[in-house]
Amino acid sequence: MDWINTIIPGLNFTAGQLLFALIVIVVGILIGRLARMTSSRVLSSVMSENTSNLVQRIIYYSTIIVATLAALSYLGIDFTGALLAGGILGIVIGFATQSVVANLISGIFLQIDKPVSIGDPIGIIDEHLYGVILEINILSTSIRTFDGVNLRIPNERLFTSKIHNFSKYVARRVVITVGIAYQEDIQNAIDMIIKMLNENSLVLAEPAPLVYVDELADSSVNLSVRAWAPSTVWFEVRTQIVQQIKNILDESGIEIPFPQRVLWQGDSQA
Amino acid sequence: MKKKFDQYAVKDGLSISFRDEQITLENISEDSYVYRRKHKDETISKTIFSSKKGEVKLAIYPVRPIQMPRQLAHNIMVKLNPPITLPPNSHVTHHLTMPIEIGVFTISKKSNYMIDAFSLSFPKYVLYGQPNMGYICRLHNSIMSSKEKTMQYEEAAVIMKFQNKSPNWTTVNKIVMDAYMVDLYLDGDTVYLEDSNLVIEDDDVASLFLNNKPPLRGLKEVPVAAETVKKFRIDILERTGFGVAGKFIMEHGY
Repeated sequence: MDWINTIIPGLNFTAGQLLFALIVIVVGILIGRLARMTSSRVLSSVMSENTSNLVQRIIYYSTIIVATLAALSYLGIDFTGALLAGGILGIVIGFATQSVVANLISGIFLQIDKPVSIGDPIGIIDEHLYGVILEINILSTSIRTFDGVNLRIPNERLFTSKIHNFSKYVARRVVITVGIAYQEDIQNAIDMIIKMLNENSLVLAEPAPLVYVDELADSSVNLSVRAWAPSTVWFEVRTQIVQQIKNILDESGIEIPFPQRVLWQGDSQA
Repeated sequence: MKKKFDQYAVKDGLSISFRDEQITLENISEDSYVYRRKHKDETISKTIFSSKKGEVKLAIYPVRPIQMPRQLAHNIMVKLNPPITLPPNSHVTHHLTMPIEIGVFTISKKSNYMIDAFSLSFPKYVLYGQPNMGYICRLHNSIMSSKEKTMQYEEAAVIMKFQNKSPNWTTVNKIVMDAYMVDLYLDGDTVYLEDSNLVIEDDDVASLFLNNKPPLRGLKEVPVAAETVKKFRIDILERTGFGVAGKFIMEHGY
């Protein structure tokens, strides 16, 4: 194999060694394909199709690269210089792709930690964003906001944010504060609101709804209304309850006062 | 009295009532019919379907109580009134009830399809366990008795065998079951839950067993609804890889 030595000085191997190196590369490709097929079956059930495809590709090409490096190393090709150049290049690329790598790592941790899943209604508190998770990819997550806009958020920002997952638990509590006038019969108002909650099919019977005097405020006696509902219908229950409370208090002639201030005018003859 | 849980030939003017619910069929063209269900003065639903040469029938049968007002829960909690207290290592059989809904199906030779479901009782729900690891359950308050006593078209009779395997006295306040497990049986218009028994394992945990057989001799499984339930169970098996077991472990107390 003198011709090799003329092309790349310092290299010296037999045809058998070259054949073996080629076999190592071919076996590497086959192993890569096998790993891709196996990972496809395993990953498709735990992550989205896009992410699964990306991870499969990474596994496939990593296997081939490792096999190729092993084969070239077997043929006596020295990678010391290449590793040094590669190391410097790696640092440059690392700086340049810092955010990409951060998003990649966050994407992997999102898949492992699973703070959110596809279809979950969530709120990203720091970003004031609310919506439903559409897709979790390796670099970013797609969210359909409640006003119907598709939003792509980098995984790093999602992973490091405070996330409210509204459907993680099966039940959520609705809390409403309603003020009634000081002259009204408090117990009567409480009884009527409790009766209304019990007649609402979607309000859970257990934990039982609770209504109590929460505050003696400036203009009203504030009642706190607390009722549990299945998480899937929480918003519907909340909107129903608010309107129903207003209706039953109106029907019963119980006043919901607006903020008011009594002014005493001084005696002009004094 | 003619039984109402039955199959009906599709024809103009067909009318069946369950208390305030009035089901009617109206022929609007050669092969097309409008299905209507009226609740007092309100028409709740309507569906148009075809019936060529009498191939299609309308079937009305009891179904598991998880359709109304929508599919919020697939578990049922039966609260016992009064609760039952059992001595250590004892067993006793009592009659209680569970809720049912009424399903309306169009059936042909090859398959059937549920076009409507309704409930004669007011559905309420409860949380069994904690919000982070509990279940939403359809609530039903049942009177315990030594004799069978049900509200027709609203409740199914349950003949429950209670077995206390623990060395302590215990009180059972409620029974929780997965509706996906439930098979219903018919005797005329009286509906029965399949053969069932509740085993108290210790002070915190009980297991409900549904034994896939009629509670009394001679009862027939609800025909069309049973097929739908079985198809549903196969769907769950295909989707999750797990079958629907005939055992529900009440791990959040009884």
